[in-house]
Amino acid sequence: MDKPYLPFYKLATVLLLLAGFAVQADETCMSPYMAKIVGQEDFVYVWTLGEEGLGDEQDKLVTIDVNPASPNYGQVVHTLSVGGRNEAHHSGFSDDRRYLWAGGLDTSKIFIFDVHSDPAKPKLHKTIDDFVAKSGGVVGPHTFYALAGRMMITGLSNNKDHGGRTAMVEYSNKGEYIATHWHPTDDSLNGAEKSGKYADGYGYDVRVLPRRNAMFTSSFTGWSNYMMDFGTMLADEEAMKRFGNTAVLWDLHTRKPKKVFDMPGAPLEIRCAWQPNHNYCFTTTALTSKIWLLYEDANGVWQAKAVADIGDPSKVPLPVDISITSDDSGLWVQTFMDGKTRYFDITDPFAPKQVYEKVIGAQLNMISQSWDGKRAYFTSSLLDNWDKKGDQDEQFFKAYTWDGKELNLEFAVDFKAEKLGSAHQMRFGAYGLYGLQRPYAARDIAAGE
Amino acid sequence: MKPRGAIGLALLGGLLFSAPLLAAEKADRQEVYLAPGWGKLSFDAPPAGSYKLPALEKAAGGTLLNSSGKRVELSELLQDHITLLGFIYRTCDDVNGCPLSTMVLRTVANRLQKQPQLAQRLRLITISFDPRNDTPQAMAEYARSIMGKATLNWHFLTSESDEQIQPVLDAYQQYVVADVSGKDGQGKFSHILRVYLIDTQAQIRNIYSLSFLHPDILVNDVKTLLLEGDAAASPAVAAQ
Repeated sequence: MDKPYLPFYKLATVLLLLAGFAVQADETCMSPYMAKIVGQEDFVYVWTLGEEGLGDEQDKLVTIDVNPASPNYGQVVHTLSVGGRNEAHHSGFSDDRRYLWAGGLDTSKIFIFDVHSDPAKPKLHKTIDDFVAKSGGVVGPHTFYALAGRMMITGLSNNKDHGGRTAMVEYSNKGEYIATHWHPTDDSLNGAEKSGKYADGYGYDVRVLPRRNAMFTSSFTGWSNYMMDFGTMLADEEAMKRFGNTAVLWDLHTRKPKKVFDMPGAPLEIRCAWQPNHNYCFTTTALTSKIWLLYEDANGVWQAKAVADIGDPSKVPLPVDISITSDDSGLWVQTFMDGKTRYFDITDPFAPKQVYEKVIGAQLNMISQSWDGKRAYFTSSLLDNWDKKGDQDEQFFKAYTWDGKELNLEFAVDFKAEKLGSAHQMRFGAYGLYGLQRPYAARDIAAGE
Repeated sequence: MKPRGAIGLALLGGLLFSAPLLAAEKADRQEVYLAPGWGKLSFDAPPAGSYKLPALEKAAGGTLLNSSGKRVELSELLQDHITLLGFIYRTCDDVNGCPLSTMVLRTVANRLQKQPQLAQRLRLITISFDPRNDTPQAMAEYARSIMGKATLNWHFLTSESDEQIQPVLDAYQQYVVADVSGKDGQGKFSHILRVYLIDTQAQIRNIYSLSFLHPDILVNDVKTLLLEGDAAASPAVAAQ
C-alpha cells in the first residue's frame, strides 16, 4: 500500500530537489519556522467570536473538515467554546505545530489549544490570563508568530491610556513569559533610525526574513478604537487620528528596532516573499488603500514604497487580510467594505497589477490559501464592533478552488445559521503532521484489503 | 485499496524558507539547497555582548547513558558550564538534519579551541533519541568519528530505552515521530532540528533551528553569556 504521508526526511529531500523555492505556499502566511502542510489540508480551525443572542454566545474554536476525501467534507465537525467573549481575533501555531495559540483583543486572554492529540477535536490545553501584568502593560494580543521554541506575540494597545502605544511580547512554547519589546517612539527610539515623520510606537503584525536577520512590524490602533462602534469612531476626529502610520524593521536576533518607516493609514498584515533572493515583504494600509513594499535595495538598505492602489482609495474600501502565493507571483487582497477579494500580479513587486476580483460576501476579512494555491478559504468578521449591521452582517466560512482564472465556490458554512458566531481567523490542520493516519483512509484500506 | 488524496507533509522548521543558496549540486538536474549553517552567514552576526538573551526556562535533567555505558545525570552535566545541547539520531542522513547539528557544534568547538579560556567554559552534549540503534558503543564510535584525536568537552549520550529518553524529549519539547518504514530496518524519524544554549545556571537561553543554527551565531551567543557572567562577577570591570 502507498503511504499517505511523506515522512520528513524524505519530503525534505524531495522539496530540496525541486528547482527553486517555488513549492512553498497560508500556509503562505505562516512563520518560516513552522512545520508546513504541502498537500491537502484536513481541517480548517476558525477562531470565532461569540455573538450575543447567538448559540452559547461564547468565543469558540470551530473545526471544519475540508478534505474532499472525507465523509465529513464541508461539515463543522467540532466546536470548543472558551467560556466567554474576549474579542477573539487572531491565532497562530507553535513552531512544532502541536499547539494553536489564540488571543482575545478585549480581555487579553490567550487560549492554547492542543491540536495534535486529535486534530479533529482540539482541546484547551492552557489559558494565559495574566498577559497584561506579565508583559508590563501590553494589551490586545494580536499576532501569534512562531519562532524557534517560542512565540512572538504582537500587542495592539496598553493599559495606561488604551491607545496604540504597544509592544511585542515573547513567550516560551510552554506558555511562560520571556520578554517585552516596546515599539520605538520619538521619546524612545531605542537605537532605531527614524526615516520619516513618524515614530508612533504602534503595533499590529509581525513577520520575519531569517536569511536577512530581519523582522518587520506594522501598526494599527489601540483598544479605545478597536472596541468602539465603527460608525461612532469614523465620526470622531480625535479617534481617527489614533491610527498607526509606521512600519518598523528590527534585528531579528537581537530584537532591537533598526529603522522606522512612514506608512500612513494603518499598515496591517505583512507577508514576506518566499524565494531565496526575494528580499521583500508586502503590507497594505487600511485607511489609505495602498499596497506597500518593504524591500532591500541594491546597497543592502531596507526601504519602503507605496507600489499600488487597492480599488478606489477615495471610497475607502478598507483592505484587510492579504495572502502571497508560494511562488511570489500573486497577492490576494481582501477589502472589507465591498466584500471583494482582489488578486494582484506581483511578478514585478514594484508594480502590482490587479488581474481578478470577486465579491465573496457583504463583508470580507480573512483569507487562507493552500500551499499549492489551489484552494482558498474566506471568512467574514473584522471586529465585533466594526462588522456591518443587520442583514449586511453576514458571517460565513467559504471554501473555494482556484484554477488560476476563477474562484469556484465548493461549499460554505453560515456561522449565523449554525449559531456559531462571527468567523474570523483560519488555520490549517492535518493528521499527517503528527504521524497519524486519517481515520477514513484507514477504513478504506481495511475495506480494500 | 490505495488511500485517497495521498499527500506530503513537511516538518521543515525553517528549512526551505530561510536557507539561502549557499551551495548547490546537480541531482537529477535539480539543485540541492543547504541550510545556512553549511556556508557563510548571509548577514553579520550581531557582536557578542551587544544584546541580551533572556532565559526561556529551566533546562531539564534526566538519567541517561554515556558512551561508556555508565548512567549519568543530565542535570549534573549542565552545571558550571555553558552548554550547547542537541538531539540527534546517528543514522540520520538528511544533510540539513542531524549532520548539520553535529557539524555546527564541531565548528563552534574548533573556533573556541583557539581561545582556551573560553573553550574550557563550554560543554557540548549530543543526545540520541534512538536508543535501539544508538547503543553506548555506537555513540562512542560516532564520537570518535566526529572528534578524531581532538580533546573536547563533548558528551555523546544515549539511553537504555524509549521509555527513558521520552521524558527528556518531552521536557525539551523535542518531538520525534518515528517512521517505521525504513528499508534498512533501522527506521527514520521526523523531527524539527533544535539546538539549545544553556547557561551555567541550567537556564535555556536560546533555541536554534535551521535558520540560525550557524557557528557565527552560536559562538557570539556563547560569548555573550560569558561576558554576562564576567560582568556579574566583576561589576566594576563590566562598567568600563
